[in-house]
Amino acid sequence: MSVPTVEVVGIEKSYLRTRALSGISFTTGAGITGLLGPNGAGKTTLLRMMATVLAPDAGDLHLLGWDPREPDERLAIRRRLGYMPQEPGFHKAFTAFEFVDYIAILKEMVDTKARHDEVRRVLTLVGLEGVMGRKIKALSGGMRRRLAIAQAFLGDPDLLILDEPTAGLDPEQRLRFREIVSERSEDRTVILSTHQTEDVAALCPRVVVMNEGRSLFDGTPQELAAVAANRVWLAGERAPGARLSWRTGDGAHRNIGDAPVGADLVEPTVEDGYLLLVGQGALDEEAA
Amino acid sequence: MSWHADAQTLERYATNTLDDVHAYSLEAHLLTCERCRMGVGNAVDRAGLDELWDAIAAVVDAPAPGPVERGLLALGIRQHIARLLAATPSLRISWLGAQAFLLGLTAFSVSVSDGTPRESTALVAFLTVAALLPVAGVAIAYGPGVDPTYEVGLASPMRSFRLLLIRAVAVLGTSIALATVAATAIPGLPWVSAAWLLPSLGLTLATLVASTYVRPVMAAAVVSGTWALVVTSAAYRVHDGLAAFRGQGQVWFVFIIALSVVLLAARRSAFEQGAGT
Repeated sequence: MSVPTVEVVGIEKSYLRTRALSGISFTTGAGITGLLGPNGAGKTTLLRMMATVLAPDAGDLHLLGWDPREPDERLAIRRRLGYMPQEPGFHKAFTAFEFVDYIAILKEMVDTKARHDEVRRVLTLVGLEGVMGRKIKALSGGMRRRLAIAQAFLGDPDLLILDEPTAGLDPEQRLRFREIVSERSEDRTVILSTHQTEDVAALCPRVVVMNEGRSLFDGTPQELAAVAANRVWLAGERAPGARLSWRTGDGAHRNIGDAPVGADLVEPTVEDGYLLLVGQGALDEEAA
Repeated sequence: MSWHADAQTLERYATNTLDDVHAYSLEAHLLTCERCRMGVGNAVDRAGLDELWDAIAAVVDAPAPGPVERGLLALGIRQHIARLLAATPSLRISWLGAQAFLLGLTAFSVSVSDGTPRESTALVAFLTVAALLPVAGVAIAYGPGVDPTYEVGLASPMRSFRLLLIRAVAVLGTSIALATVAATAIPGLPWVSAAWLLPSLGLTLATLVASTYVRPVMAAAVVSGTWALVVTSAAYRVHDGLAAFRGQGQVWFVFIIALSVVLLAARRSAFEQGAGT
């Protein structure tokens, strides 16, 4: 692995009596790391800590070599950080340009010309150059999502924290997003959370599967798929021993679990490995 | 066309080193002479020209700011500060309009009340409203639950405390200006019609201090509720509706302002990492 840029050691966080993170640890460096997990797994809590907006109850966190608990170091992190929250808010009376310009000002870009050039650059990056002057309240949900992505790219940050960036994007926009992120990930650290296993398979050389505030898996997407090796098979109906089973488009049942002797084993996917790890809860969520 | 400028003159014009008299003469000539225009074009620094064109295009392409931002720019406020203020919920036209309406209504009630207006309930209502409006305005100026970009703002290098102060000063200034205008409608302009000023500063600062512990709206509710209780109990205790606004009350507010400034300076770092969330 490259030089560690994000070090998470035994992080804990509780909200009243609900424990969101239970001593999670992992380390990552330049490149894209995907956080995969069902709702309530603690992904957003962890990303908010990495975005320096939430302090852990216990444990150590270092970002780009700095400790966000120290005010000066936190400021240094924020100067190199791009953050897209799970539910980005907008000043809807602003135009797309004004909104990104506003965030650019918060990022200490005071020179008007340089700032406006940067605003145009990021809006063009996400394909919103044609609607720069349009009010946010007149933009579609997908466009707003892209606007939130655009502001995270302001200033070409070294650490990019993206909470479910592809939610609400159509397939074409999702491909464009993958292209933008992968182009910029070579010497930068990108941490993104997603429910989409295909995003992880296509984009992330590294994946951390979380559930109930813990890390269940840490490795490559191929290794995640391999978790389900010899444990995925097709049958005409739900197999009695299957932990998970669903009817596919061609009518066969895809079963995951301990395969019976003679089962029609198939190559496992990232999704199979993920579902096997997190179990029925995730399957119910995907179905919903 | 009887004459053409020589190459040296054109170059001096293009590099802005030609004296004014010859430059004006040449400009008049360039309007009608294509050959000399081309000569100037060849002498101009291309990179500089491109840079100038980019700058013009950037200004032309930038969307026109909204009414609040235009007003702030007209007051001489710098562009980036004006944009920060334009995103303040309590500086929207609708909020300012509601504020002006409420102040105007209570001031009008004082002006038409019979008997002794200085002692009237209407006057107490005006003073209370004038003191509390900035508290409400500051509470919804910045913070979790009121600013849709709060979380992204918190993760940005601009200190939240600085942003909060910029907005609080703007909101306070606007509220004070509106209340001052409304107070002029009170007959005779007694001194007590300005007795809201120190309470409004004190209550606003107290709200900011409380916002380092709880959400700003909750902080404003607690401070306002406490203030309303103080006004009411003081009025019943000495049988004077204006008791809380008289000399002793004003002295208390000087103390509250000083204490709040000290506490705010000591607690300012609490705004930098999701404090009050």
